[in-house]
Amino acid sequence: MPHPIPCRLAALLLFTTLATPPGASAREPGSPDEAWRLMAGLRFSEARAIFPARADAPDLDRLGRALSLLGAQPKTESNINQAEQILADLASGATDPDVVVRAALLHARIPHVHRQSTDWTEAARRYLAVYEAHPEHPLGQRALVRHGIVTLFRPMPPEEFASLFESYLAVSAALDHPDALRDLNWLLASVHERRLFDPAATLRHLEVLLAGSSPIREITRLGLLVQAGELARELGDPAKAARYYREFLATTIRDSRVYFIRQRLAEMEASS
Amino acid sequence: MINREKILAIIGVALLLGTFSVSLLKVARRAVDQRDPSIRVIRIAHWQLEDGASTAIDAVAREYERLHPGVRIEQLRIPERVYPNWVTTQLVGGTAPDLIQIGKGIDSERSARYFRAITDEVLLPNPYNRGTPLEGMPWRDTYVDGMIGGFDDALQDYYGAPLFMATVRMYANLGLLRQVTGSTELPRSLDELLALSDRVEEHARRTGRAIVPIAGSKYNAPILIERLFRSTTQRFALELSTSRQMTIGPDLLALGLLREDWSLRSEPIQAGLTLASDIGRRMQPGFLHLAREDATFLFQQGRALFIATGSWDATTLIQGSSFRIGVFDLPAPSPQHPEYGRFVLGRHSEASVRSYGPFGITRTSAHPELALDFMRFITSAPYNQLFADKSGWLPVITGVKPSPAIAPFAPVFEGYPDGFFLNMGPDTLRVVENNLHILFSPAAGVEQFTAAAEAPLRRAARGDLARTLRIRNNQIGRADLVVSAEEILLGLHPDDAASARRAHGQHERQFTSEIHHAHLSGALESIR
Repeated sequence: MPHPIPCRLAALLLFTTLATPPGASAREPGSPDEAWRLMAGLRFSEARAIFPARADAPDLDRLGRALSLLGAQPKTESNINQAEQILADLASGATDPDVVVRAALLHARIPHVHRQSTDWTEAARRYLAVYEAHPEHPLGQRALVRHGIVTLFRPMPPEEFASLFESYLAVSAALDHPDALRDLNWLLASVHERRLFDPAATLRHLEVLLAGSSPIREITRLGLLVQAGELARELGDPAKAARYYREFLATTIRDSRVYFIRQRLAEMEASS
Repeated sequence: MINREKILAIIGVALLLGTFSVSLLKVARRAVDQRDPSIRVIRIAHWQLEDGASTAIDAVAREYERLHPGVRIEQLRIPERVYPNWVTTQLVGGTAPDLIQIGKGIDSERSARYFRAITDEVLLPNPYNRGTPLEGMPWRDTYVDGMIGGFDDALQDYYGAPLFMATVRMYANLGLLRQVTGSTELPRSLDELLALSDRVEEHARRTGRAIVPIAGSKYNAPILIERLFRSTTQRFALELSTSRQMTIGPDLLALGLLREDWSLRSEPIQAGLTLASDIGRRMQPGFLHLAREDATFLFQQGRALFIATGSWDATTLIQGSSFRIGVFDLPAPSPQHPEYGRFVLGRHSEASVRSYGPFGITRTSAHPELALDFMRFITSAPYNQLFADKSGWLPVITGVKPSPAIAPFAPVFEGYPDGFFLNMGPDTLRVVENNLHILFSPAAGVEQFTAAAEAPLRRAARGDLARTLRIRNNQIGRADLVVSAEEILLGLHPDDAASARRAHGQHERQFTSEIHHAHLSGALESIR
């Protein structure tokens, strides 16, 4: 006759195995899934305690380890160097292709946003390399937009900028992922608005941005609608301005610009 | 025979013993309650010590207890000055109450670490709205502002349910007004306010009474001064705003100053300074060194005709003053004003006024479901009405009527976007504050202020921008980790709509912030 306690334990184990839904273990405390959730909630040190430090850990766990090192406080050069090394290794040797591109992109972001001071040139070089290595991947395309951010606002003589901008436009014309296109138009609208002071070109990119299928948060969209409406009005296109004003007014009543825009619209309608 | 000293000593000891016994009883009662499984206690902490809020929370709590036997709601009123330290100790020590007003001392990182996100819950109907016009509506949508005051933009989640909303107005002592003018008619324009203030000064000289037109302090004066200044910069803000979004933030304002797009000598700025000087000279001498309580005291003693403050002080001022109080809009020049009208668009809009100070459920709460239930209760239409009636504060729930006394504080939607003030960060604020006395000095004025502040303000603007860049760079770096984590979670759980929403939101915040950061960095370098 079998011993009752091992029997009960075996039954319990069997029951637990059968009753546990597939994937449930991923959400358990201490799981990588949990670690990513902690990271998303700014709890970097707790996430770091979960991601293993071993070099033979799964690719995604190593990526998590690198990110948690970047978030560790106090921020030290040693942690950043260690994270940079892990990301470089993953970018060249991970088996999961998504991890490869994400690691390469994050590796490019280290000189951009993770060091004490930004190394614009190195960041630009790395972003471009990521895009050239993965031009079809959404994150590769994101890297090219980031390349634009770190180059197109740098101080330089106008003729040098003109040439740089022209070549950037030529390269970025190949982007086709909806999110990358949204970001690209956003960037180009900003460059025309803030650097080239060209309202017509700014509006052109805003129009593409607002008509795109990629999501834009309502609070941001409201600002863009006002901007597009104002630009169209200044450029002498009241019909277009009215369209953007109407969309703005249809979206919100709780904004300090509502009354003014309603007035603008009424004036335009009265004069047409 | 017992002498006077002995009696006093006995009274002192008796008071001490009494206080000690009461404290002991309170502590003992809490310990007993905590051990009593039939009583569930929800503790709620906040810094709103003004009259009204605490009384109203108590009133709603008693209703909740009546309907939920075995539950007790305890309120912890923490002074604003010690709130950040107190809250840190409680959160870190694991002894935090169930519900805490999020704000002072609690940033996004602390919200994520110590509070529960309630995004899933705010998308569900509030059960206490059953039988009201809000029945079936998501809890979030029952708020007049869509509960935006409870949303943490950095985390892209709701972390609390707000109870408060506020606007600022001028309060007038109607008794004193009648003594000075023979009527209780309140000023309807800036010029009427200034003229009335002159009559108060004249009345004080004639009667020898120590009264001033406006009670000022380092807390109240900026409310009025900034309001006037922001009205004279309304049109200028539109002009300076290269984004054409009808607003200009402190960073681009600082950049504009460094690029010489504007200076303290710009006409609208000079107009704002002149108005600020005019109004500041109608406050009591030395007001820049006085605290909020000093101004309140001066007004309540009947020694000032006006005071500018928020709706949060309405109950304190109305109940704590022996005279009738009138409330009117903060003065600003109209577009028809002969001198300042050309700088002004019109009365500023309050359509963007948001609810604030949300109450979040701490992760250490022993009864998180009950804490959530109480927040639903107090923000339901019937009980937010009770809260509004008892507190005299502005309600945050659609359809809830403000009490008659608070009606003049209802946000005014018919208005224009605001202009700007000279505060572009801590350094510029310091320059302005350090030189404000020159603006109000009878021996100096606008020209002297301009001459003294002009060069330091430019240096300070550069300092503020450099600090902003450092802070933003850190935030962008941190956001890298959050965006990556959200996107990886979305890859692991493609059907998780909340993950998708957060991933998109985080990416957008980070991306637009990076563009702004790159632009500011490049522009600042090119100005060197």
